[in-house]
Amino acid sequence: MRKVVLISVLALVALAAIAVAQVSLQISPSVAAWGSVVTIEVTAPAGSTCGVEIRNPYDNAVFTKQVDIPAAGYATAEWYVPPGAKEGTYTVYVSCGAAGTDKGTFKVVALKPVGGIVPEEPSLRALLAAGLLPAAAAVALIALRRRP
Amino acid sequence: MKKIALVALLAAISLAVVVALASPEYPIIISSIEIKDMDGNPRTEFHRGEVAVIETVFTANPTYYFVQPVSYLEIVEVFYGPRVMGLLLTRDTISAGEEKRFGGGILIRDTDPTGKYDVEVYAWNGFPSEMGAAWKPLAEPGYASFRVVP
Repeated sequence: MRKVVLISVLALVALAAIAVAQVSLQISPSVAAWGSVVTIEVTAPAGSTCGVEIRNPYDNAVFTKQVDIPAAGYATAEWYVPPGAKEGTYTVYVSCGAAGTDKGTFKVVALKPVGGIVPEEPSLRALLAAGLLPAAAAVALIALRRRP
Repeated sequence: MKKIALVALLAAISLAVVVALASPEYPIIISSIEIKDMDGNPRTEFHRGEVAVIETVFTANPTYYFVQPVSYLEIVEVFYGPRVMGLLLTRDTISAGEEKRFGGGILIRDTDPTGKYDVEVYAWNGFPSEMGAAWKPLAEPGYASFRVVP
């Protein structure tokens, strides 16, 4: 009888420990450009209530959400990266209380990455190459010719 | 004796399950969320350039036993889909029998989209980043909405 009770107690403790370790985050994409949406998937024990928080590189909170975890064991939250958002590493925190916590990061960039490579921001040289300066010169020339 | 031990064990497991699944009793009730204009008139629609004022009332849950005042973080967040259009925060405490009011304005900019804006109000004991595993909600969330029209 003592063995039965002892085994049962150990089983309950093990189950509780497993429940505590069961909170995890998946963040996609890992590099998000202005105007894109970051999806945060929280996996936690069904029935948990979790708080999600995103902090920018200045450590300011830019997004919070409270989610309830359904029977499927996960819930998602989405954050739209506003144009002008500070570029850099953003940190996502999730806490489901006693069920556990997790943390993850993603990067925000101004421009959409192409083939996994983030292009440099356009420089003055690039703008010149694009023909903006010649166009401005042409407009000035036309204006001069029209002078009486 | 074995039967008694087994019955006791089953009873203990059942009780644990019931306790785990039971709705938590929160100390705070988000009893009101009102959306008004700058003159205090309730509004459901706003134009670009106007300010939507969101006023909330938190009421101490009359069935909750307040051992001491409860400290809370109030978050008022305005969404357009996944886009955060405004975020208001305050920290305060609430005791038995009390009611707390909080309000703030969200400017609807000229470039903001038209359509439905959702307001979500939370009462937490702190940010998840601050509280870690001690984080918990202190109320059922509150929801409201308004529209931005051309």
